[in-house]
Amino acid sequence: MKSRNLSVPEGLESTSMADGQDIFNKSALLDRVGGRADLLPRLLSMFLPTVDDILVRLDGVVAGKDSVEARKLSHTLKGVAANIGAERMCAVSVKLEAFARKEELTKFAEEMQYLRAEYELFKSVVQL
Amino acid sequence: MLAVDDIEMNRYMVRLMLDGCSDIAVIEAENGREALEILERKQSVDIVLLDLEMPVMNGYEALQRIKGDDRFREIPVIVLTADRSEVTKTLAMGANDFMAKPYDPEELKLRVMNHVRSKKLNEMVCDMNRILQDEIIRKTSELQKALDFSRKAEFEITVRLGRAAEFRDTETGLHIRRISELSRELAVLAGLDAQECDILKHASPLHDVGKIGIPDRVLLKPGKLDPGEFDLMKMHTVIGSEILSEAGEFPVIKAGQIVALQHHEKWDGSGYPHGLSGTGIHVFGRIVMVADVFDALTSSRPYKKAFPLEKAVEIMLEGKGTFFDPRLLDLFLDNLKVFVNIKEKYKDSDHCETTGDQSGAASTSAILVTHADNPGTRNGTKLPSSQSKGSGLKQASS
Repeated sequence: MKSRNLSVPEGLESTSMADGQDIFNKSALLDRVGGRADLLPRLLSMFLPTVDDILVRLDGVVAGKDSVEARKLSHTLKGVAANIGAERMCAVSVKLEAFARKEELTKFAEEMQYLRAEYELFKSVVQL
Repeated sequence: MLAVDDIEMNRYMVRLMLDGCSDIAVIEAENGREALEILERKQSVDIVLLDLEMPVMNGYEALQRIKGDDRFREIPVIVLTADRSEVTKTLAMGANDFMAKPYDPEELKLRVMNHVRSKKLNEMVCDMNRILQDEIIRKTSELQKALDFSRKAEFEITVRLGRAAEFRDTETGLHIRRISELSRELAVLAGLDAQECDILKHASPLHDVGKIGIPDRVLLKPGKLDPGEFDLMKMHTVIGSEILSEAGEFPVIKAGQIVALQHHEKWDGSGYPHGLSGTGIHVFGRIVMVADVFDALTSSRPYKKAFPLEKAVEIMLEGKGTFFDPRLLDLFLDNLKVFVNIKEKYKDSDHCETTGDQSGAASTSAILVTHADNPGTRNGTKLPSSQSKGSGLKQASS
């Protein structure tokens, strides 16, 4: 995998929104990795391609109306977003998984827009 | 620890979180199949952290296979899910614990350490149980050997006691052996349980041990015994019983006492020493009676020749219901081949067989199966009269 030049703003601790969820909860992530900020670029370099891949595959399953695969992918995204501290992305993934579980793929497709938006926000916050 | 997750970042984070635990090395697998392959290769995996949604082989199947395999069943599996239905489902499949993402490092460490500690303790208990089991097997085997040795010693004593009696007689050591084998075989056919058959095999050599107490002038007297001498000869049963009395916990000696006392009792009550009849005679006594008479009829002695088998059978048949327990006799004759084989296997030397022409010098103390018109000789075991008409039968059956 090609390494990407990633960095996290020095002063950034959290990017809370009105609902209390962070676009990127950096402090929580640091807690999980023993406070080692030097590892964040490596973690992000793993996270971003994973999300990119999931998004491409999600487009495919929505087009193919494959709710089972849609649920699995949104489940995976939920976990990986939670681990990196992308709380808002995680929250959208929870909704996506629920829609997929109920086979509501139209709502699922609509929610995908929010996911992409949140992803863009996340990337902007971590300063790609 | 084996971390199974298709997302590299998730595996990496697990590794980072457990970085401080010097005792735990993290191995990674991208899916269930890879995890199973690693488990096959490595014997040292102490815990599995298992994601559920994975390509190739998902966590459910991997969990099922791990818990369905005797080799891996005891490895604790922590399933990565927060969904209640998945928690219930995976616990039912044998999962030991569950966790949700995002991982809490402290929680992860504690859960992993707890499960690993439990596994190690379990292994220790299993090891101790195995060691204890081995020790029990070893001790039991030693006890069994000691018991076997004790039984052999008891048998040896009975055989040598029997021989001691036969030494004073014309019987051979092989007679003892034949009685032992014939009695055991008949006991088997009569349906006695294996332990009883074995006891009788070892006890029957004692049937004539009481001869030790019979004076030489009677025991070794050539020719007929007068009624007084015959009464004395009969005492070998009682003497044998006395020698073997108070056997306590020695089952072979105890059975030997019964055999010694009752092997001249007859089915119709005309035997001695107590004139017991029918099933009032212990089955051991009834069996040895059949074996002893058969061996006597078909063996040569210095004072007589062996009867041909057909003649011996004829004589025995005439004693059915009077002399012998009819059921035992039927069993014996129905399986005659078996007994003839035993007789052949342990037959006396040719020297003994060819000395049959010394019939005039009937010098022994043998129990006699005798002609009706020749009563009172030797031990006086008397078969019906027709058997011996004109045969000059004076048959020893000791």
